[in-house]
Amino acid sequence: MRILIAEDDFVSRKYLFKFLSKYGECDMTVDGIETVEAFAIAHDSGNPYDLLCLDIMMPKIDGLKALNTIREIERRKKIQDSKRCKVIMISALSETEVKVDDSKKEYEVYITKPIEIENIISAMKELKLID
Amino acid sequence: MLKGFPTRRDSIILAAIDIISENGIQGLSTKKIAEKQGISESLLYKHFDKLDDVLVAVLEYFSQFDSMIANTVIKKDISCKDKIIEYIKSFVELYETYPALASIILNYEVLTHYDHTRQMITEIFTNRLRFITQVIEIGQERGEIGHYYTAQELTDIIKGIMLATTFRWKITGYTCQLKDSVLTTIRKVLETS
Repeated sequence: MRILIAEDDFVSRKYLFKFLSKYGECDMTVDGIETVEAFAIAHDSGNPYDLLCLDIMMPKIDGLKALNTIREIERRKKIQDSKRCKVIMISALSETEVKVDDSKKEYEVYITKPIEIENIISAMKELKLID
Repeated sequence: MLKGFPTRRDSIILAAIDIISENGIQGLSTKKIAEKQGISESLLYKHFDKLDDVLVAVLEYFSQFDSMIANTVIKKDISCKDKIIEYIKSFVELYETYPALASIILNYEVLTHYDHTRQMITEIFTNRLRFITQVIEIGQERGEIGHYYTAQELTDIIKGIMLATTFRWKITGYTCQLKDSVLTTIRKVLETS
């Protein structure tokens, strides 16, 4: 499994990297621009990410804007919804405050910080990335 | 760079933030933004009528998460001291990884001299202070926070710590840990209040 961890906070990033490395090859980005670029490069090289763990409050371009662009890239490449990258939003903001309409939700799972490993495992199971 | 991402408008805002961080608000001009972006000034004017509008967009960007942070923190089932820490943490965590954005808080006063930004920066600053004051008042009512300082005084101390530490962090070349320094000091103040 190929995983992209988009998280600006060093401690959270390291924590996610250590945990997720057990399940696959992890790359890390620290802002929204880097994240979209990493995603596009991975696609263009024929080695796309299976899972993206994405923070919202990131430098430069926020996670939600970055995600909209990522989904646009997938749509342009005519990737079916079932085969698109699975996205877990991980944010200090509660989901109710982020106020994304259900019809416009581009992520699969939303987890509120502090990061609990059980929540990540449960999300990955729900997304059928692990058994 | 991916075509069309970030949008030209977003790129102009990000360039303006970088210029403010490097040269101050007085050093911001449409010419400098255009140079930094490698575009003509006329293209910049397709997105913003004038420089004041860029500044307004910078402040909108700067404060885009404010109400979400406040509403998230206030609903958390934690003590009032922890709510204040969580609230401040949300800002300093972002500033630590995006130092250019932090330069805006060091320009609060300057922004009150521009007609287009005076009211906006006053509201941003006042709302952030008000949130802290309200949480302190609730904490004092519940006996979680002492009464040695009034809620207003304690708010000023907390905001002062944040501003002074951010300034020290900037002039020392971002060498200290902003988040740890700010949160450790505020925790100590709250514990001894």
